[in-house]
Amino acid sequence: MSDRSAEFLQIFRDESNLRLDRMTDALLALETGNAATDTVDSLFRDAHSIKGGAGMLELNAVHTLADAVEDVLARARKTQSFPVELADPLLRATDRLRAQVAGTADGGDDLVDELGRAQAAFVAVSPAPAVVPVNGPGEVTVEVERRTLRVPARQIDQLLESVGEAIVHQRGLEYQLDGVAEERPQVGEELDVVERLLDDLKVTAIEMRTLPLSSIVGPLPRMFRDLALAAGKEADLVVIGERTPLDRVILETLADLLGHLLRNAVGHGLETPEERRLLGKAPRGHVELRAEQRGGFVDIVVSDDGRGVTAATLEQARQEGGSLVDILARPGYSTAGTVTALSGRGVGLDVVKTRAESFGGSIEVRSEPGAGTTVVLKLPLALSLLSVLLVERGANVFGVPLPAIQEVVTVEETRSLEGRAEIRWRDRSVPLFDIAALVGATVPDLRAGAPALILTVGGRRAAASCDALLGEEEVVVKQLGSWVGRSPYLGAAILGDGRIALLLEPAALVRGPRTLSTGPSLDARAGQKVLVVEDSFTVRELQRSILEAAGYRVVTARDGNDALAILARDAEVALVLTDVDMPELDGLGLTRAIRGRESLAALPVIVVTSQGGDDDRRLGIEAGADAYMTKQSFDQRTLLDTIERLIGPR
Amino acid sequence: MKGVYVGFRLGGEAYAVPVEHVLEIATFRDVTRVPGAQPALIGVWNLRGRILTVIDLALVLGVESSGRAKYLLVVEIDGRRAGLAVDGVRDVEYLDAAAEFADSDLLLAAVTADDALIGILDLAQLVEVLERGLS
Repeated sequence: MSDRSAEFLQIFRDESNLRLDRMTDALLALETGNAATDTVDSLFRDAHSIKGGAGMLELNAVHTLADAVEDVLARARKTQSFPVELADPLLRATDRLRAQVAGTADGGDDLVDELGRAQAAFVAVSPAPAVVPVNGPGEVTVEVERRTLRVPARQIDQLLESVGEAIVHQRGLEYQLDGVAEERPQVGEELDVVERLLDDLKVTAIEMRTLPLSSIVGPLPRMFRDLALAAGKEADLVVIGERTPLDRVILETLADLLGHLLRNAVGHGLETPEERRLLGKAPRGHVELRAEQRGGFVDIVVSDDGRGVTAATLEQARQEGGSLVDILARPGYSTAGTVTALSGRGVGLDVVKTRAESFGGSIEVRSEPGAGTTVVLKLPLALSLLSVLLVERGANVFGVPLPAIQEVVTVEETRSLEGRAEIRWRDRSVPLFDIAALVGATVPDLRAGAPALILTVGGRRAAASCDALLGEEEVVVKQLGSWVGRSPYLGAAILGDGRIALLLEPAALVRGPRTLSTGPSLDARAGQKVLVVEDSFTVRELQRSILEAAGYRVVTARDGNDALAILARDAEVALVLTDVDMPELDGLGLTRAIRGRESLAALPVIVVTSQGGDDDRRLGIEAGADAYMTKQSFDQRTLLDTIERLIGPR
Repeated sequence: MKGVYVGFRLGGEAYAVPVEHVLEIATFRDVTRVPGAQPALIGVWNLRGRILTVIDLALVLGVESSGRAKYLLVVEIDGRRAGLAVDGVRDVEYLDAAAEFADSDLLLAAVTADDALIGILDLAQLVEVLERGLS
């Protein structure tokens, strides 16, 4: 394909997607009876234009299907009527067209046939007396903003990154020239001008990198409708704040996250119309999606007026430290008594939580039994810029994202409960952690009267103490890279004086210090050898560190085949700890293979899975595993006890 | 093993990396420690506004080092950059010697030049090892 026709194709795609979005909205409006008088006309014109463009570009499948859609709409236009049962096949046709235009689908004959049959619906309707076409076909032009440029997103990312760097160096200059600026006021003035200009540039670059929420909201009403239909619920979705800007990269995953949240709201939150009637509620449920910018962060709120969590769940949350999110996001947790096809068992919320935290954001859930559930996602406006409080501990400067910090206090008096330090804060007991212990740094003890940050993340509260506060700053977030390994860091930032601040993930801070040793212990060479089979680097290293800290020697494999190769050459392996889901040969296959080999038949095998279903347990035992653990109940004590039971200490 | 290399010292041993992978040589100072990171990672360094990961090469290679690295060899391979902490830099040198067997995953080969045994570092393999986490 020549550059020229590739360019045409891209223009056609963009234009068609715009038209298909509009068609979806129009069809939904027609279906619910909320359509404006000219809706059918506009639908017809869009279908006609797509057909025309497809014909020119010889996209035959698109042409054929668009033609069938146009046919139905022509009839509707002529009869001035729109039988509501047509909405569904037409919606599916727009979906297919979208896929065809994107190149992910080609056939459409099934829908062409269906649309042909659907025309029968018109028979029952008496034709309207006169029809006056408003617009001739083919005369519509897409409203193109003439002064808009098309720029690759990568270039904008590069621009923002460069602006961020420039700001860092401007601060560096300001720091270096501190003395000079005092003697020569012009220097200070020039620096101020540069600072202001850079700030303008930053705002402009952020504006370019962000897109309004509406850019991804398009398919949600449609999805919501289908979800409600499938679940036998009646519900309206209200979207507020569609123009709220959000980071392009965040938006890419946000559509999925909102999908999870809406699925939960419909599947778990809302009651059936009958139930609602009995409860004295309106039969139609109400789900709201609201976005609002607050400083450098955007709040995304999804709330429903459904059944909420049970009183028992609330009580459990209260006992465990107040975090409803942690309980609901736990794999295997579901607010609906049964698992439906619509909503996974808490998996959705878990994903949302992990993603929000990986962006430096947070998630909070509020719920009242009987009154509904509200999920609040707090996300940074621009991924690469983050407002943090800089603190010092030992030789390091750490940055803590501002939204997580509730207050800064001075540690006057600590108390200890079950061996853990706590402080009183607003008449409450809050666990107190030393930031050094949280990250695993070895540093001198804190002095008396050290400052501590009161942090709240996902309803969980903790105080983190440090040597000194350095102040607030907006920093450019840089990745630390995968070599750092599992760690409590969001990234790093370069400060004005050239130092590097390590940015801490708030969720990691409130979880408390890691109880595991970070490096292999020195006496690890003496113990029995355990083979850890796991495809996830993080889990593998976590298991390695637990085992090594307990004195075992560890070898690792990335899948079953890898493990068999190691077993073939290393006779010292005394126990195998294996994951189930792995590429190539999985954990059950590995277990069976071990049992099938005479030399290995007696080798103890522990199977670790991410799901806790009885089926998995049964499959694990049938395959010949000696013990079975789930990742959610995975704690080092249980693991070490199990291993000790099977092969004895070290 | 013909080519231009940057030679360096680590403990009492001599190593070299192909010159095309070396971006610059800097003095080892002001490295920010990253608590909790894998032991092979000494920390991070501000390389003119970019974050550079600093690797304890002696630990990775299992070399008894002096414990005080003096230089950072800034290398790049497949778009990834790292600073290798080394004890001394010998200069850029042209090597033309028969490759000898090197008993290490991390070495491409060993060569003898001026009666000294020089290990040629396999940077791609080094990246791989760091990616996996040092065992």
